[in-house]
Amino acid sequence: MTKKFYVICTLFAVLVSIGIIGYNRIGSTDIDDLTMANIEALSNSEMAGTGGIMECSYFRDEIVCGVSISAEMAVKVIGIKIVKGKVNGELYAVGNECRSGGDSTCQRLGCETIYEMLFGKTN
Amino acid sequence: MCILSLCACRSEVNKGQFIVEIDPNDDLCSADEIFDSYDYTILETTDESLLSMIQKIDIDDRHILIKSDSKIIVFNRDGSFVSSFDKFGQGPEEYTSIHDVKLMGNEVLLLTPVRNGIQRYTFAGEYIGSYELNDPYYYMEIDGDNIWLASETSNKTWKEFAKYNVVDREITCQLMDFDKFGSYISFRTPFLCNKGNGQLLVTRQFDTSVYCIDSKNCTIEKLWTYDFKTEKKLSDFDLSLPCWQLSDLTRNSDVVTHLEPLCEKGNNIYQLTSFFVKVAYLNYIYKFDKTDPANTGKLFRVGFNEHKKFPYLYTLPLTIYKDYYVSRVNADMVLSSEDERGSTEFRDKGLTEESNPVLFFHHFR
Repeated sequence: MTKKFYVICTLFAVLVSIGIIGYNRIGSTDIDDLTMANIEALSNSEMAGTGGIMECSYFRDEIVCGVSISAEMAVKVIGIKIVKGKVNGELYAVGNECRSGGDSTCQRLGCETIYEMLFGKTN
Repeated sequence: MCILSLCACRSEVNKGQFIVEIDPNDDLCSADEIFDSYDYTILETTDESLLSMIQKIDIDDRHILIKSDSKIIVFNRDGSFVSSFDKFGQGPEEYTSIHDVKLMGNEVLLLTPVRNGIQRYTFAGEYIGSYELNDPYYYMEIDGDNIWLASETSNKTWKEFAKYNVVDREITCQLMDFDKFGSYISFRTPFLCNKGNGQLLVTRQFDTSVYCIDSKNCTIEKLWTYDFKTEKKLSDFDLSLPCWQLSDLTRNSDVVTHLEPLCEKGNNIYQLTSFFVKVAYLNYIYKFDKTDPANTGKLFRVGFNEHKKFPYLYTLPLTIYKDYYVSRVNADMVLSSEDERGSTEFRDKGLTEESNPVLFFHHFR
């Protein structure tokens, strides 16, 4: 029998200030080494390169990108120990929106990008 | 219920500051050691009250206020719909962005830093007026006739906290200097716990200490500091860097940079926190006794564990209200869960897969 991992994801974002991100449903995916490498890049966002906003004239508004996943996926993706049962849970990563008027550089890190890094492109 | 503190900020049983060590690798305790019961509120679903998400929430004894995109929705505490409005726009009675929302009596307050003010509306969305602030603020907390405001080190007052009196219509107290402009707004509120009677527990960006504001006397005092046993600590970073740079260096990594809301119940503290595990943050609650923090700590993980008595305790917190952990579970997940357990409690109350999320109030023991 082929073991099939599945992700039950309901996208939601709790925005600090601005932006509108609605619900989406992500289908199933496997987490591979390439995705894991991308995930590490989440915490080391490069400002140089294409698409970066280098002018120091922005505010960074943090946003929360949350996702609901199954216990099986949690074991695979984050390697946590499940003490009992097969209960879902929620985890989140942090992105940001850019808003003019500040004095920081800013490159938008939206939830879509984060979810793609975490779970890859899916149906 | 969180005991209203009648004492000064400094605890009589544990004078002075102390350190609380929290190790994410500690054995996890059971839900029974953190909570003793739960209740829920089904938010009425109508065309006007339909929610896409809950971005901000405020709760008082009579109402629940929710911000969902640019829409403001008010429910009674029993979940019945009261009213909603959406005043997104550039007009004088409109808003383009909302950083925080609060109930104040029969008014909805919307903190709008772009306008340097607090917009006031009736529940139905009728514009009442505004409290004009000279600078942008990003979080607020109601304290009687006062509104405490947090600048997130991103305004020119060079003070983190300010108290605005709605009767005098002026700032009457400012606390906690900062010396560098942040340009960085965390998604976490610095208001950790409103103890009542003018005592507020607060924190600030890139700081793992809990401070107590004495509103009446306009003082602030550090109470305790957390020492998180994570892979990296704040002290590993150059804290003189601008906040937005610190954000770059610490985001989505194994270091705790901000504290989350807490509940104080007698000598017990229930501290919400998050730890980064491989690729994302998981939510935890750490309980300890202020009189003996070294020997009374218990760590609980929210989610990914079965708790028969608390089948809906697995989602991220929305807020702490009094001594309740408030979270939401989407209607389809509620129904799926009760189907698995052979229950029809929610279906019998009319919940469908298309209904609004259900709010759960888990009561701290």
